[in-house]
Amino acid sequence: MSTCYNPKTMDELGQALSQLTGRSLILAGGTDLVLRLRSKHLEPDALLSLSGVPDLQEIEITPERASIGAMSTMARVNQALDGLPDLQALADAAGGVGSPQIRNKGTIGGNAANASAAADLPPVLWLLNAQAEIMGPGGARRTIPVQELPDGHQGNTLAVGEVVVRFVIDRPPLKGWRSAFVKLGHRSQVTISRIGLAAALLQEEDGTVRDARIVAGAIKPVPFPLPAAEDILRGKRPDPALAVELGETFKGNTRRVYKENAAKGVFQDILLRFQ
Amino acid sequence: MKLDFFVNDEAVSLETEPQRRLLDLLREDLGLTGTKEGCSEGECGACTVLLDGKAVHSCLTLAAQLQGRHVTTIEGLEKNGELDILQRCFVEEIAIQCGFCTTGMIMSAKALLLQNPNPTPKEIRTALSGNICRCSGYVQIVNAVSRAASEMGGGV
Amino acid sequence: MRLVGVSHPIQDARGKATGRARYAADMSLPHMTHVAMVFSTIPHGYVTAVDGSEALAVEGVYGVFHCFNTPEYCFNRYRSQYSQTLPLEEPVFAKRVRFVGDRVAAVAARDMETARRAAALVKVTYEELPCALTFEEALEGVNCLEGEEAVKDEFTVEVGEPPRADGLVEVTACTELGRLHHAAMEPHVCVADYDSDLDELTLYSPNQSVHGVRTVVADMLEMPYNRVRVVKTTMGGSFGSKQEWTVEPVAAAVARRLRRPVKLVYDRAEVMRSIVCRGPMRAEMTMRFHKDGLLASVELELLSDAGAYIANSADYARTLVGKMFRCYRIPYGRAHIRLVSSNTPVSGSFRGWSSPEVALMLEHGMEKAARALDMDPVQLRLKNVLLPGDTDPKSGVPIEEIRTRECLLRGAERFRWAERRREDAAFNASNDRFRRGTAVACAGHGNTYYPRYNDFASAEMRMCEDGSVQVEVSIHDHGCGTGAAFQMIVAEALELPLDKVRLKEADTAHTPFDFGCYASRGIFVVGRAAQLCARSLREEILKAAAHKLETTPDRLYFEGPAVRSEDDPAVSLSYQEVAWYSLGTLCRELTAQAKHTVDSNPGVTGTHFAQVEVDTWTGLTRVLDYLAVHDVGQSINPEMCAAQIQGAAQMGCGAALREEIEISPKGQGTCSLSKYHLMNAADLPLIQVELIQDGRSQDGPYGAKSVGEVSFAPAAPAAAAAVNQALGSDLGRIPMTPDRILEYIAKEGC
Repeated sequence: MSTCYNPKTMDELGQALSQLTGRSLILAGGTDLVLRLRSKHLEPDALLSLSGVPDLQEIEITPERASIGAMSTMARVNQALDGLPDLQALADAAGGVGSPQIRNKGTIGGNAANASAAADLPPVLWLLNAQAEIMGPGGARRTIPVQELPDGHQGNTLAVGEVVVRFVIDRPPLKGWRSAFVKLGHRSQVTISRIGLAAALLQEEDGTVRDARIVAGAIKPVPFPLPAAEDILRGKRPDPALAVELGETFKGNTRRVYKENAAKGVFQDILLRFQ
Repeated sequence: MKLDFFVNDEAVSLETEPQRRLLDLLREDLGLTGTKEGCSEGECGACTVLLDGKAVHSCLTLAAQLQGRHVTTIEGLEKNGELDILQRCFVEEIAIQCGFCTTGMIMSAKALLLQNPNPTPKEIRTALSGNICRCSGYVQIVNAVSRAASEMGGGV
Repeated sequence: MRLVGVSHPIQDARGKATGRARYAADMSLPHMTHVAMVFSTIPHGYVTAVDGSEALAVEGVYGVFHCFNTPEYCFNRYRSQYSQTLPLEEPVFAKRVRFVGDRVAAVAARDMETARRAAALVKVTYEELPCALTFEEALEGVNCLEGEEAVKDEFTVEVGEPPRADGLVEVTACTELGRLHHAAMEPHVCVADYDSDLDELTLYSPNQSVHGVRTVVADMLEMPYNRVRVVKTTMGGSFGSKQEWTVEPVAAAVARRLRRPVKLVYDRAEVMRSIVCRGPMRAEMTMRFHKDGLLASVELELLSDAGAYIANSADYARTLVGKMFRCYRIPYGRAHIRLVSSNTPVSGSFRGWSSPEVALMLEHGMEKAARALDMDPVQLRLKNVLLPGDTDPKSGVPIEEIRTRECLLRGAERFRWAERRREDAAFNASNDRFRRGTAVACAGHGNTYYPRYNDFASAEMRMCEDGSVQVEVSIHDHGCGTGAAFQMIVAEALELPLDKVRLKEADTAHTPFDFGCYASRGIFVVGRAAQLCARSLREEILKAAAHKLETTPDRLYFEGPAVRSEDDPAVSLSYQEVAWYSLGTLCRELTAQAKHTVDSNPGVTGTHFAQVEVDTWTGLTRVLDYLAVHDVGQSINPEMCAAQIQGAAQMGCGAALREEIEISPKGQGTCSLSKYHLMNAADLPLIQVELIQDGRSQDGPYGAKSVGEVSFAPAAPAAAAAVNQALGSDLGRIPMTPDRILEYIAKEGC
């Protein structure tokens, strides 16, 4: 039988983290972990449940920054950010994860820390240059760019007894930018991404793209930027007809013929978001 | 672990393993077998219950996540022998066939109406997209939810 | 009619809405043991050792059973009638495993979690054998041991005379079908209760034939049939997956060895991996037409894969030939069929029992023919559909009334066929990414397996003291309200309100012998027996009333639930009064028995219209609109007919566009709903249904024909044809997944 830690405050969380070993598991929303627990018949020596710490669920949006507690559910992230042009991609991604039931339970921290290649939030967190704030044993804190969270092998770089407590996005650098996320799965709702595409554009008043950032997900073990696509967009209006040319930038990035062919469709869908 | 939580507004206290699923707690420990297990992986929605008013999969929820929280199951909808409007509409709109998805479907619909008392058919379809019904084409189900919403007068 | 033809909620709708309806997995019995299975992880080989010691060491584990410590229990999952002589090909615990998912061992424990945890600790050692996962490998006999043939069954059927006319237009359609998962929401389950003092075994399970289960289990355990009781429980869907026995023999064997009640519940992955699937088929269909579009001949070359065990596949393939002749007039038909066996999940019964499969082949050919002949697809079908008075050329049975023609005409009008096709063309001309297509498909089915086999059903009824009625029939409601339909049939005949008729489902201890609810025979055959029985009970009521009134039955008539007299308007005897008189004075309970022997099998068809939009950039297909028009005879419960038909459309669109169990190079089949993409509410348009009810059967109750299976037959063909229409393509590989669509476009353009 495993020990269960159910901290209620950040202090208690820090203490609980000190007790964890390499055989312990940290339980966020549970939408992925429960499946792994059962299919692999894992018997952790301790289970740390994050559900009881209200601070981990806090979402605070100011003109300076967006601070999103790691235990914020997809549904809450979607609700809190929907309509904010610079952060829209995060709302889109969170709003498109799984089913309503999954969105009510799955968390931004779990999605990012779990580091599945098909996860929807990491490409957006990369796009927005989010910082991950990490708590370690005894409550020690450190902050890393989200790009340093995954280990490249569908795992994370967190040490034993470490947990992501929140994500922070600096908003001033995003002033004037609009962002969006679209995905391609097997159906319109409740689907795992075969391609995830996060884009942010800084546009002139006439729509011309002054600057662009594009990050793709679900292609490689970790998200990756597409500078060639960004180059295509700069100086032009985001015309959906550019999709064919943009789709070509996927070549060489994936061995899956399907994904290579389908990329232009995803590009067009995202361009339509900027009309 | 000792787990104290609420099921259908009643305080429940259990000694259980932290890794036990809410689905098993309900069905095995509490005899609430109205919640069904259809896929065990959060894909079919048959095990949907409300956790603090939100639809979740009881097959992906562990005892370790339940301390102090409120769970509503299908058994909690009927009040004094009177069906919930949603339950009645599902019956009357002929939205029930094999019934295995029904309770989860009703719980997802309940969660929707708590949040959005006046959903459009499209919003209903999106809200129920995590609940698979293999018997129907979802037509009567959508009708039942629409009718329940209008009978509630747009307020739950 | 008062009740028949008027929509009613099904009998257990309220229990299903409250969660109180009891499914087998909801049952618990004192001292119940939970069983978890250990399945083969290799596609082909011998189990050389099973080490259950670690599992047995887990607290609460009662036993580990496998081929080395149990008698050699063998059965045939397809045996549903005592008279079927089928090889006992399938062991409860395999020594030679034939697919990933074959049963190797069972672990019994005090609760499910313990059983599952312990099952993961059972160590199985294998000696691997070469495996066949594809048609090619199976045909080469890669998996055959000495003395085994690669082709398990091969036959040719010919109906009619080959056409002699010159100048026929010939088309050949190549269609390849993947494996389908039934996806009944309720996973397979059996509760077995063994009374060792009486040597009586009771099995509770959602199954389609209690007597079939009894035959298999009693013979396997060498028990007298009357000591094995099988009770059909509330069924959370079947679609054919609960027509063959997989969990029942295991639960029975373990319960008898443990001498205590056993519950065996599979989870979704286990159902997908181990139970049954619709098997793959590869077909080449050559159709010849006269220049005016009249069909001259159909020739089918078919390769079918039975999977790991033959089970029903030989019969399924034979049935398929019969189904070829249930929709169109085919002057000459020929089918050459070969059956192979591979190391993949077992192929078996699937809704429609080969009607949907042959419809995919025929309708694919019809689409190609319409193009080759430059004819409108609706017109081409109108020229060839079976008409009232026709005879099924294969079986020789009259088609009776049939309304495919009316379905086509009505559907074309309501779906705005010609206009919509023009709109699609305009849309496609002005769009470089999306393509729309609108298509039609027709398909036929039966209402019984007569005349392939004899078919009959029985019913019994008794009137209670208060005038209410109890019915005993062996029905197996799949979830589509067979119970309610029977209540309506009986209540209509007896002029009773619905709640005065009570019936329970099949239970070998109480209900009459029956073959089971499959072959769409539930309403047509068993329902007819119930209707006839109700008529007999009417006569009994009249006889008793006549005695009381000292008159003859022919002077009496029914008005509401009362007996009135032609001779005296003041006379009105309630059923209660008649029942009391019969019991008290005549010393006789009012009962009736009836039997219905089948000697007809009228034509029953559906015509489906689908409009789709294919994203030629991503390969994703959206169903934009759908209409199903069905020739159902008199519908008993119309809204349920519609709901079933809509379900069939859902299943058909899934089958045509994305549903497939794929087999990995290591023999692992898709076993998760996250990878097997079912149609959800957001995927589908508002599916419209229209019932054409004047093509009544002679022998079905009130003129009813079948609906459950036939509704699935035209669905996938319509959706698939719409994709081909949209792309101007000739895709024959079903499902038409995004990957296959893009691959096609990359090669052929669009």
